Amino acid sequence: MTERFVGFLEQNIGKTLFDKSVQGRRATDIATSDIPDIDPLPQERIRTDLVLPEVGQLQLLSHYLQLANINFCIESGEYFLASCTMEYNPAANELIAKILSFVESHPAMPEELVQGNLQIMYETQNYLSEITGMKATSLAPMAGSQGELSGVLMFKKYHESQNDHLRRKILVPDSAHGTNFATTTMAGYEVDRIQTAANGDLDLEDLRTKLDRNVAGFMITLPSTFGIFDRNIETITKMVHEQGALVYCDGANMNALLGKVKPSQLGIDMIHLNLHKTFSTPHGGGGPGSGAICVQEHLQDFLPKPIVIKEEDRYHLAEPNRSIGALGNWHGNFGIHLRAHAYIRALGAAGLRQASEDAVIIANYIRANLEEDFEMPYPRNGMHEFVVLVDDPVSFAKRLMDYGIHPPMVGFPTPHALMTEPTQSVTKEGTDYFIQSFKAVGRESRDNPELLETAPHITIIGRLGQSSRLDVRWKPAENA
Amino acid sequence: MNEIEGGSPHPYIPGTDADRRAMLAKIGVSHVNDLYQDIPQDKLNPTLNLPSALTEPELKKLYDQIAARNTYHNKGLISFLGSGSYEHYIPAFVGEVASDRRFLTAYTPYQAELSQGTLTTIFEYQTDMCELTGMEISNAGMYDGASALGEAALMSVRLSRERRRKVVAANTLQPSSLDVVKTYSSGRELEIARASSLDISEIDENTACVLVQSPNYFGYLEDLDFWSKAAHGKGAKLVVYVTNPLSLALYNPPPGKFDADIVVGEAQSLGSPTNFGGPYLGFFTCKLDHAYQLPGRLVQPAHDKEGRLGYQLGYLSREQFAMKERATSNITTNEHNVALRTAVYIGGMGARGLRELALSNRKKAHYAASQISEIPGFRLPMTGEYFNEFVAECPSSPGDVNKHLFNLGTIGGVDVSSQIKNGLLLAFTQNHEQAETDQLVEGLKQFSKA
Repeated sequence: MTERFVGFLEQNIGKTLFDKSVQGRRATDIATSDIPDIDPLPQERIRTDLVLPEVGQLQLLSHYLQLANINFCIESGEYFLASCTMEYNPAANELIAKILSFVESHPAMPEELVQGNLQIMYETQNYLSEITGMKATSLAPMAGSQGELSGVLMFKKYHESQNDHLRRKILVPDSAHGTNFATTTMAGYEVDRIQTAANGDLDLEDLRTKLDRNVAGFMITLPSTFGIFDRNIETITKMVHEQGALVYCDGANMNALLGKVKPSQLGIDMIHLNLHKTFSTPHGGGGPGSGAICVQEHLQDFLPKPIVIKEEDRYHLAEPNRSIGALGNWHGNFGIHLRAHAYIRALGAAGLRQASEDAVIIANYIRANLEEDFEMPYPRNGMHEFVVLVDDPVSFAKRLMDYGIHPPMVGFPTPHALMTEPTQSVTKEGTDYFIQSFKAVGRESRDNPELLETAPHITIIGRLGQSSRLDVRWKPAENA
Repeated sequence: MNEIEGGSPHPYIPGTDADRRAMLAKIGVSHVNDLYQDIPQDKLNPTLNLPSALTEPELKKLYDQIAARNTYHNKGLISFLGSGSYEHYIPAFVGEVASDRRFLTAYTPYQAELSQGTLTTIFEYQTDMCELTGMEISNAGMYDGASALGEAALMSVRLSRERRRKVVAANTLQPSSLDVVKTYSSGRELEIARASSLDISEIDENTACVLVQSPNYFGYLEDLDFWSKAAHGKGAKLVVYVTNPLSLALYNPPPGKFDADIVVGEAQSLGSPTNFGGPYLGFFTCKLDHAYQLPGRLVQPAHDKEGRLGYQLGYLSREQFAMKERATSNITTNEHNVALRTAVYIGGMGARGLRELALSNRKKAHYAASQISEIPGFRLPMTGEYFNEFVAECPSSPGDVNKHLFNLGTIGGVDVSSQIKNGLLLAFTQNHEQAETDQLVEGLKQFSKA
């Protein structure tokens, strides 16, 4: 077997910048100052115990370049990870985000000096309101989960404003994202699960049974985490409203619906959007993101602060009258708002609609190919993502890596699930390669399962074993 | 949109009409709307009133125009604003690494074999924050300092097994951060109370945690020994909040040495621009004993079958995908690209670089303070050690002072007169040349004469 050069020497795997430290080296100039030291700090008050890396500047860049080499990104290959919308992160957005007057603005600057920033936020609010059909939007939440938290806290404040103090439960479909459940706990509610019916829609009878005056609200994901659009959505929202409760939509899957339907027209009271999913802002290896929250008129007073308003020709930061409060020290993730704004301006209404349509076509194309060989939970067309069921999704995923593909989502929403979301950014050739590879692994799982069990084989590292509870940081002399 | 007949509708959307036809044929439908049958048909294909699409050159022009409305930039105004967001020079290598697409467009590192780049950098970041705070364990990051503080309060309640429902905040806490703690506490209906170095009567057996910011909102270091005893004496957790962690590279001993249970804060000043308030990064550290209640992601080392060392997400039985409503938090996407910037910045600056930078910041602030305290009508109302920020009590409203300074090409400080009479909070970093500080002092002298 010939050795191949992969731009990263095997002996470097596992090494941190700490491991490459040599005493006395430095990557930056030391700060100097000609200002007199008015009251020097006594020596014993100055730290001497800090152990941080000491490397030269080239060595630093070399280290991070080598780490980048072993990181799979959207540009590395097919990355059809569902519920994430791994769509293209436009280069133009990165350029725009680096414009100095945006970058160097301080959040406490007087409003009249940063009207450009406030215009960006105001317009982004409006675009997102228009796309969802909602009356008002706050850009304060810094991720989808914070959007969810603000939504559920708005349930609470809304009911209090109606002098309704009985509501202590939230209903959530059993297929919902784990964040929905965790959010209900953070907001002080109990959660009750609603089952999914055999056809993939919500079980209406189960919903009917569990809906009562103790329910504050219902959280739905549209399309669902199975990629299925609930045919009874209008019935569901009507049922929830009849009990005086509210409907929250987890908008993580909005990439299926841009310009195809406005959630506000289906009886949804509020929806959060993931700007780092639907609106092309980079995932960044785990953020930063932004979880804008859009609401109907009867809820706009409760939005988290700040919102941006316009009076005559000036933009201002404002706090809604009965706001649930602040979610962060400042104004949300402005750099992310800016990128989302640029994406919307680049595509326009027709482009956004085309993006959703292509996302849905490509996903169904893959599904139509794979249903020849694989079991599907629900025999119907889905939207921008779909689930395939296999015996051992973990090993199946690892074997896909050997084909140069990032695996789909493993074990969600059900334990045997592999969930695929291609997005509109991918080519038909790439999609066909994904299909062939997926089918090949399917055949291997029957004819040669050992290949799956021992996968992956070509990655820089194999499957990792257990970590020890005590190993949580790099330590000098020995690093785990 | 410059459409090519039958071709890609947009540079970001490669599908051609031929691609679509082939795919629709395989699916077995004739039109894409056939795939939207489940949507109430009377609601299908609404109009979206959005501006028409722009080409890339048009986009660049548009944003240059909008950016020009940030008049502070055109005017070249010098700012002395701080309060949890600080202007520092960021070495060029930080942006280069953080913009690398292999880090930027990657997702959460759920598949460790494909994500050793991301995972290694998180492990470095965690180590950096443990070193700076003196604490045993750090997570991979939170949204910002204030929301990290909110989560620290919730964690403290969980650590008390839900028996303690009160959060006591020192009155020198940044007001906007306390607001966020209130929001986070509102769901669980926790009680919020205040304390000061003169009055700790609110700290009792119902107190889950005591929140202390150091350096505090006004720039001054708190007596952490005092607060540690005050909290632990009543069985409450001590939470230390640090909005300028550059201070952690300077002052001995770090918060960890005061038996702090949780140390959280804002990492923006370590490698990220002010960027109108976001994206920033909340760091979150705690005692190892408390690790099972830690919110957020955590990375740990492990070995593969051949003995190679790698990194993976760990302590998974805290997170939402595993534990749902029993998770320690709903946080999922956090601020990794900012944590990457932080790790690269800290890695490049090193201990000595950070310490020298901190000393330089402190020197500038102390010099300015000594000059300002000599101006008739101005005084320093607080005593003790301060880092790179302090409050000047002005002869009249800070709003008027700032107006006057603005006419001289300076954005003054943050108006804190709601807490300190005529208080103006001024921050200094190495970005402030001596001439600029002298100019500020001159401006204040002029104001005092007027």
